[in-house]
Amino acid sequence: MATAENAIIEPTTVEEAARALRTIGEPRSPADVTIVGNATKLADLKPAVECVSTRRLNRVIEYAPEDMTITVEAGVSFDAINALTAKDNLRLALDPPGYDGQATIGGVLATNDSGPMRAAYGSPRDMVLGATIVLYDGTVIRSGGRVVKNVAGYGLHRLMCGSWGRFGLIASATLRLRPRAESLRLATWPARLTMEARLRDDLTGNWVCNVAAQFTRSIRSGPHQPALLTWMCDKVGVDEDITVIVGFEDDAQTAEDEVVMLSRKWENCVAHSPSDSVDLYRRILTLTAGAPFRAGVRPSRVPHAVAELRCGSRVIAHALSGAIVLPDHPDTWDATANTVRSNGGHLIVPRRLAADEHDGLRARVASALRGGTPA
Amino acid sequence: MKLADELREIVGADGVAADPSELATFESDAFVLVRSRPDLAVFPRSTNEVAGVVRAVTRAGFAIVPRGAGTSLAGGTIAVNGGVCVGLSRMRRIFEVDPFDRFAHVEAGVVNLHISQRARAHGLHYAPDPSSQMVCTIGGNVATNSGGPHTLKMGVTANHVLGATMVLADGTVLRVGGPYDDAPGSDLLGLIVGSEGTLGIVTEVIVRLTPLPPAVRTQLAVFETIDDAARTISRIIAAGILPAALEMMDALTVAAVEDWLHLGFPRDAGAVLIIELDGIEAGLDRQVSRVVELCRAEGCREIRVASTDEERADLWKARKKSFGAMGRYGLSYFTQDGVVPRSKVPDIMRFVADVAARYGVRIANVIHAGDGNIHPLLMYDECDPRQVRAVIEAGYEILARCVELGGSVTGEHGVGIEKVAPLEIMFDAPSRAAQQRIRGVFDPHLRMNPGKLFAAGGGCVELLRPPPSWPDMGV
Repeated sequence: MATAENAIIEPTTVEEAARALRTIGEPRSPADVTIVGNATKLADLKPAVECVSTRRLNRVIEYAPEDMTITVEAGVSFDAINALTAKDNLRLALDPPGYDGQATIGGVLATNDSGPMRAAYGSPRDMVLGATIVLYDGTVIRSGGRVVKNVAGYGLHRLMCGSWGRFGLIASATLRLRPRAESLRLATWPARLTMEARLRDDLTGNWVCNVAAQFTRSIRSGPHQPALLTWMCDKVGVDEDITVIVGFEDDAQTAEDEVVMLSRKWENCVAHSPSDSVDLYRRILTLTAGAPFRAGVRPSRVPHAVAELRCGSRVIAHALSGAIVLPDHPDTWDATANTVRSNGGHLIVPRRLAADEHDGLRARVASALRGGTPA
Repeated sequence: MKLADELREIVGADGVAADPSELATFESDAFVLVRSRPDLAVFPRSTNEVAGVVRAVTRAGFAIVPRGAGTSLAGGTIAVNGGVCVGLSRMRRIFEVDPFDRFAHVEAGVVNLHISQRARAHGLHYAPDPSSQMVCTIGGNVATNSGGPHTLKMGVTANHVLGATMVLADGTVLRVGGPYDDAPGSDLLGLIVGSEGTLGIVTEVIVRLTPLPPAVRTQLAVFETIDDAARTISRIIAAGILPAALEMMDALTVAAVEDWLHLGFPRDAGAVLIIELDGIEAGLDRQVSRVVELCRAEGCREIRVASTDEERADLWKARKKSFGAMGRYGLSYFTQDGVVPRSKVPDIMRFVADVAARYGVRIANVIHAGDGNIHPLLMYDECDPRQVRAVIEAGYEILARCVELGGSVTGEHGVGIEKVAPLEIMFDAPSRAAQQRIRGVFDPHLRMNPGKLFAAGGGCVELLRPPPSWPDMGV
């Protein structure tokens, strides 16, 4: 990491953070400043001149279980929030993958990270109710509030989601919590290349993907309300099996009923025990953590996109949201990106390939927030 | 060429209103305390026409005031200093409903409920359901980040908008997001939602469609006091149950609704709760029994579970028509939209009662109790200026107290012109300045819906100013 020779500034209060940004932010562009939490996603950041870490901004400001909200400083880790809220049977219903739980909430918001259950519960922008933000000129501003319904002023706290530090430093945020489900149960079903499938879909050639798509469609159009539906393409190659994982969160009985029903309906479908379910879910998170490539397509394009992408890499696709993760480093970045775009999708990571048509507008917003005159 | 003629060339002869009698329709919205007539009203039929209209109007130096169905309760569509009202009511096309990818691409003038009606055949609906959903438009919903009774579980408009097309002040057409969850870069869409037409005119929206719940149970719980009802809500949430809706109506509201609709509501109840649970059929009845238990434990004197669709529809009719029922009292009313943390509902309700007594104002209460979003309806005789003044001051005092309790001055109606001053209790000068700098990026000459959210330069409407004796809130 190129910042190694530079001191990492670690403010412990909002005032210190403001002072730090004022000192380093003004003479240079924010491109020279990298804001990190616990530095779990540095792989995607270019080396910067200065580095500010929020890791010591790590206080829980207000935890209100009866209101199902929590206000924390940006450096509080994702796991710390869930450890604290678990005693009240609550949780922050985001599941950004892995990093041994060390991802900070500031980082999760700033990178708009999400995981297998996003389709069921939402993404960071759905959870953030308000934020305190330090702009690059050192100004401290607030947006939103601590209540779940609020339309007072612009949603700058939402604008910060996915901003990768472009507008400033998220110093603290209020997040909505949800009741923790009593039980998570997973079922797996292997999508395999059968002669029948090959005959039925002989024109497209995406046999295994089409088989997986049939199963997915059946779940989606049925009465089920799955918490996750993930395609694990562990082996590279179009003819290899896809393991489709379906997960349900509910009270113990209902979750069990769901997976057992599926295992009876679909040949070779396995309903996993509660502990196996948790292990398998963790495995998805571990596999997708730190992935060098992440994209989003329309859910209906998942089969096409996966069929093409798995020629060159393992693929994990969250079929309900259309999020596709490639845990391996693709050999041909541009071809991979083109595959996603030809399927009408967007690249999220790596940022250098993620062409964004609104970049000019965001640059003007960033400049205005630094006190500059908008162009 | 005169502006009106120029606009007729863009939108057709029948798409421009210039006659004062026609324009009178657009001088107010559901916020009845202020009227101000626009200089012109124009009704484009497409995004391209909106872009042409915006270019022509700004070139002529007029302000632009977007308007959907005119149901704003905060004066969001009032042309405070004149200008051109851009009505989206002719933009009612539903371009696409995609049942697999679960989105609908619609024009801004499409009525909220019409989206759900179109999606119903696919077992889907558009979840945010403001009480005005039979008339209010999706464009207006995006502008004010509308809520509704079902936001407790389902979230607000911001959680259900996937993409938007917006015409900026210079006529640029901006397309943000699309029919997928992930898009690269910071959440511009999240900024547009709730911006009340001050960043541009939203002309098209891609909304998320959500499966209709497979099973629903709706209950009416009757309590002697608001405190008992509010405590029950906390108990339900603490039990890990997240109802689809948790609505409260106070005695004055229930009596008015019952007098009007005769649905069999107890006229002597201190407060009623409408509790709706949804999900898959299995397990739902277990939740219902748990809720009934909790209600009883907190002193609920009667609980009815709607057993048929008609009974359920009646319960919701009572709730959604409750504002209209205030007509029974023969007075005008002014609706507030404060929010407090859910656990502070009993505190704010005691405060509202105290304010009512001090100002001598009748206040009925309809509360999205699960969200802590209160709607005190302050009644007044519009012929009596003292009463008008009293409800404005009482309203301000209630909002200030909401902020003190950790809440907000508006949950779903928007700031509009009404809450420009209360917004200043919530945000300090640097925070407001940052917002205005962002506005300047989108609309450097402040042509888009001026006077809303922030005071317009000169001649702005003075509303909800604190009385001179107002103590320093220290926030």
